[in-house]
Amino acid sequence: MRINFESIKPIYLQVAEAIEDDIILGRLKDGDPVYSQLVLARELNINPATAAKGINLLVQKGILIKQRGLSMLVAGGAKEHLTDEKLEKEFAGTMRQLVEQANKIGLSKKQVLEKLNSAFSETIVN
Amino acid sequence: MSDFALQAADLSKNYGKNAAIRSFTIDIPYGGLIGLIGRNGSGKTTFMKLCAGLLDLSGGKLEVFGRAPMDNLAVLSDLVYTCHNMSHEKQLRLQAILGNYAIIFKDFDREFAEKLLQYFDLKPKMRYKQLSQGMASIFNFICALACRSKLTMFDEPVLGMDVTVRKAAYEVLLRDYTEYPRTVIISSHLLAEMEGILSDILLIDEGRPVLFGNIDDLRQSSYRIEGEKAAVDSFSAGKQIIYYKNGISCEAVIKETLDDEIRTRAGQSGLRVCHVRPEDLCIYLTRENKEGELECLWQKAN
Repeated sequence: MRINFESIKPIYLQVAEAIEDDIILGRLKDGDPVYSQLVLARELNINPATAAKGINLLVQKGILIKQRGLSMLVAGGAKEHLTDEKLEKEFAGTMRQLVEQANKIGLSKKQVLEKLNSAFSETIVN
Repeated sequence: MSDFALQAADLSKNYGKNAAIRSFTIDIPYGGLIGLIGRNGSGKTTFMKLCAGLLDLSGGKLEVFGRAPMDNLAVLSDLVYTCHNMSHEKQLRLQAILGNYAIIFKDFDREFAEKLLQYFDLKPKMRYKQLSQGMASIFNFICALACRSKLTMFDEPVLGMDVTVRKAAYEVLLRDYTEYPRTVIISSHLLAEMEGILSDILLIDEGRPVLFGNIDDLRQSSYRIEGEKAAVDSFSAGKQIIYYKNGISCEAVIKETLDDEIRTRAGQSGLRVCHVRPEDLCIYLTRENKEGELECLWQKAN
């Protein structure tokens, strides 16, 4: 986990996404306890309040559940939920980049679709 | 006890005819790692010294934990102020100075201070006068941190420290703050280095607070757009522009919270959207545009 202070993405969002990545990659499984705000603060060298904000965001999203006491747990089905969400978001982002690049080098929509078609036929779908 | 660490209302401090602090009003809640930022001579040190009861105010009101700090032992025992060149008796050995701190500050953790000396390669038997500027800075940083005071004020603590030691100092500070939460105010010109560990920023200029708030909110309070001048101009029309530059490409910094809609619209106008570092934001908020004046410096008078 590393925080990028140059990024336009707020630090607490980066914290939340780092935890999400650990869930998607299976490092954190359903029902596992999640790093506390103090552990995250030390590990990432960030203020504990910022770390807490990231954790709370995931609680609101239903990815983590608060239990009595201190530690948070990964909610059931969190991985599947996140994978779906990431797929949708990141794929849309990649598409947007594709269009931007096409615009930059002056490709028409028709040309892009043609290229996309040939890319499909060149790639073996498994 | 008051919920506020610090409350100032219309506070002022004059040195002769010069006003160092003027119409300074602020409420700082208890708890937080606050970066005190401002240009040279903006009043950072004066403000902290007023809070520490080291200076008497000229007007207005100032309360630390609900009481005026000047000559008030009940308040002064709960706070510590330190700067890089504290005037300790030069002949004293470091261990003797730690001893003095242990007498004055009721929560001083001597064992912790001694461990920190070792961590930063300082020998307890060294005399204060033998320390280099960087070493003196570390030593004064250690003393104030080990006080564990409810209000801890560091005035330019990292001055003279090399980059490795600065990083270590920030880590030690953050770690100790998580173990012993309190109100820490730290002034520095190196905001970029320590923005991660801060919870809040207090920006002051010409003796007045310009901005006080959560650093995450501050990071999101503005954004920069870059691209063709016409696109920048039409996009930023009607918005609050805090910085503008037209060179090879045109850029503008806009004070507005960025959301997906704005980002999309900027993209459609062919503009690049980027992050404004808190450090740069502080510059934009406290400096008039002097770009034209720079050229004058090299012009010869005929």
